[in-house]
Amino acid sequence: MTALPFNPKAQRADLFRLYAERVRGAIRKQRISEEDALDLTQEVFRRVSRFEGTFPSRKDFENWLFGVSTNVVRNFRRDQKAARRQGEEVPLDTLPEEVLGAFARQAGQARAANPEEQAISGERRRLVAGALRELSPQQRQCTLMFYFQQLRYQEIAQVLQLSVETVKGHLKLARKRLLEILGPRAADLGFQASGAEESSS
Amino acid sequence: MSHPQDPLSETLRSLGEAVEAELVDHPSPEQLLAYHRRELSETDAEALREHLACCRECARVVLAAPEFFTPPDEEPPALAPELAAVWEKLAAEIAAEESAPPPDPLPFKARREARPGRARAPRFSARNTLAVAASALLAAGLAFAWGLARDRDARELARPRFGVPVASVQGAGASRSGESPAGAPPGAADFTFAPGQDVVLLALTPEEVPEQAAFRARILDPRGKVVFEAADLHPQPPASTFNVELRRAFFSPGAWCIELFARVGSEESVIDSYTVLVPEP
Repeated sequence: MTALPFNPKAQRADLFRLYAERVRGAIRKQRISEEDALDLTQEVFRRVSRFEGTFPSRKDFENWLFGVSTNVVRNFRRDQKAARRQGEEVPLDTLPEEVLGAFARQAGQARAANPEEQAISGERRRLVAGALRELSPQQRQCTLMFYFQQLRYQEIAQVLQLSVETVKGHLKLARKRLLEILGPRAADLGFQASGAEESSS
Repeated sequence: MSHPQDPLSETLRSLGEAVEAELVDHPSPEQLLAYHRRELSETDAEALREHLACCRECARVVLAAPEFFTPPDEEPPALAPELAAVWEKLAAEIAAEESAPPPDPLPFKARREARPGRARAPRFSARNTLAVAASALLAAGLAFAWGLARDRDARELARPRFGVPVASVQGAGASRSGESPAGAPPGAADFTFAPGQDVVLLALTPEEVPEQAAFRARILDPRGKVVFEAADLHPQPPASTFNVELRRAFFSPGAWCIELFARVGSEESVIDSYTVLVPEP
């Protein structure tokens, strides 16, 4: 098994024994159900078994295996949702423009599509989208990961590569700043000034 | 841990969902892995964070990485029963595949028609000599243009394009491929890059080409990742051939795959797939 270079096809049984649990764990971590995770683990190792080639080191193989696992999950999600472009090398400097542009469009769309029965929620979204864009990147990122993704402090710290204390500080300041930016309209729209996230641990 | 449910929190949640739904570009697993390992520049890392904040899918990949790459302290215990069952099923499937007769390694109609010991018949008859000559000139011109452009923008050039109206290749540093790799078992690869070959032009001729179908093709790298897709393809007459040009610079060593799809109505199916073996330099 430890012979180098790795030939996944020839060593597939050993590789499955050594990596199946890690692959399944990585898939489950992406919030895939237990049943689907087993199917996707099987698909990952199906690809391992069919791969024609070798790897110069264990690390190279693990990188490849992680990529295969990620793509298998993405394909699974893509099949569940509308097809969309993903998994390609993209210029990273275009990503913030895409995110901030989406916020801008949300602000505009919420104003345009403002049916009477949704007037308040449309107004809320429009105002909050605009206010979010005025936060510092770290405050905005922490805010979205906490309120939208519902991640825990530890998870936010891990993803953003910050300390837990820094995450808490950004969240506290972000909420305060958001309410400042929203000004007197905040109370009209039902936004409270209390630091609700502080009750989370 | 509970997250707040007040109006501001709810608004942030629905706003995040709306923004996430608009995201089209997602970083590759390699980019996410480089981020996890702090191998990106600070500028790139910051750009990626902005995406991660709004993309639950990519954030979860980053969250999954540490556990995946932390080696167990000791040899892993016996497989869990459900994983053992998965392996049993997969091993049976693989064994059945390997005991099946090898697939026809000849993807071209012309190659299928070739017989051992017989020289291959010329692909083109006299009646379309003019077309061949025109194609050869066009191929030479394209190859020259590729050479110039390669110096300008290697990355863009590295992307293969479909639908180039070249039915054959003559000279200009490019040659027709289609031979199984030397020493490879039958069916191991449909094509291979010859040493020193910069460009391979493939004429893919599926066995069956449904009429009035919409065609698309895609290229998968050795890891199974789709790196190129082309839709709205049209087979070239007279042999319903899809012409594909592949540039060596784009292809890392390994077994690549080209898949052709045909859609008739709402149903789409693979009509043929080809393996392209790229040897180590």
